[in-house]
Amino acid sequence: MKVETIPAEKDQKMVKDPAGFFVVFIDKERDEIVVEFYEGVVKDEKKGKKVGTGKLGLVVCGTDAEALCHTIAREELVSRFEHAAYLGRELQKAELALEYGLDYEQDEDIVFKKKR
Amino acid sequence: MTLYPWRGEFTVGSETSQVAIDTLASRLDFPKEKVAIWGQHKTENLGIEKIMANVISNPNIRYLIICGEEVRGHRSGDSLIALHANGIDGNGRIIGAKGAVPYIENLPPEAITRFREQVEIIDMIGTTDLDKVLEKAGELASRPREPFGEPIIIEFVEREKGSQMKSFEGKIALHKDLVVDPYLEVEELALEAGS
Repeated sequence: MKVETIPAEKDQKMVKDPAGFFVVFIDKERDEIVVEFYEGVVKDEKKGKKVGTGKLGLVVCGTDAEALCHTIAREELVSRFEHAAYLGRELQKAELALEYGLDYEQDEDIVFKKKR
Repeated sequence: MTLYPWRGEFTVGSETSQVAIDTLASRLDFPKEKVAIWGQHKTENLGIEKIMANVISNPNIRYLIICGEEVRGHRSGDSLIALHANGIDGNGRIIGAKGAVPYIENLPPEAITRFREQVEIIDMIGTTDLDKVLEKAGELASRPREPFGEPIIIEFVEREKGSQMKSFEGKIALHKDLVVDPYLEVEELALEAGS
């Protein structure tokens, strides 16, 4: 049996998910991951310029990345594969940060401090 | 009293403190007994809305220090100062703000007016020296002011499609549409603008 093997490549351009976008953060007061979902909105600026905005649609919170992913999928908040994959990565990072007391910032790497 | 109803990346200190601190892009920590609430603030729309919503929930807060490094592209600190000074236009845009997408869509004018009246802004943008910020916080604490009336609370409700936030407590209806910018797109805009 022959199975094709291909190298992984990043997309050169991000394509926005028409379903919307997410803001992910850790609520330190409640030790929870909070995921805010925003539906995309376009605002007209001067001289025909348009800017992307969003409308808060749902807030999902919890401590378990898998449960958060399942809830988001069940609610059909993503419509593109790469967006779902991105969200899975972010939520797993957030879960690790929450569990190990690390700083979490969306789209940034987690900094693991080396033991001395 | 329900304090700070809109969840975010902030730390809660003393409920009776008069001072809140916005550290913009910088991570700074303060003694809990000296500050009511503090945290980073990255966006010129949603971030500002969260600050306003949470400040007006605690009438004890009468001073808002804005310090730390400004956020590139978003100009979050500048936008907050512009909002406090000028308010918004009929399209929800913060008058005079230099951020990429400085729109306030979620909070009604009454909430913005209340925020502008309740707190005095102390502009320390660019200051990351913890001691200097604490010194200013101490100075403000020595100028006590009366709490600013009754709290205004945003109520988050159980899921009901299309209407996640219901109303302010008893008084002001909250728009169910919240408009903010997608962070990545703003970054792209900022890069295009060469900032």
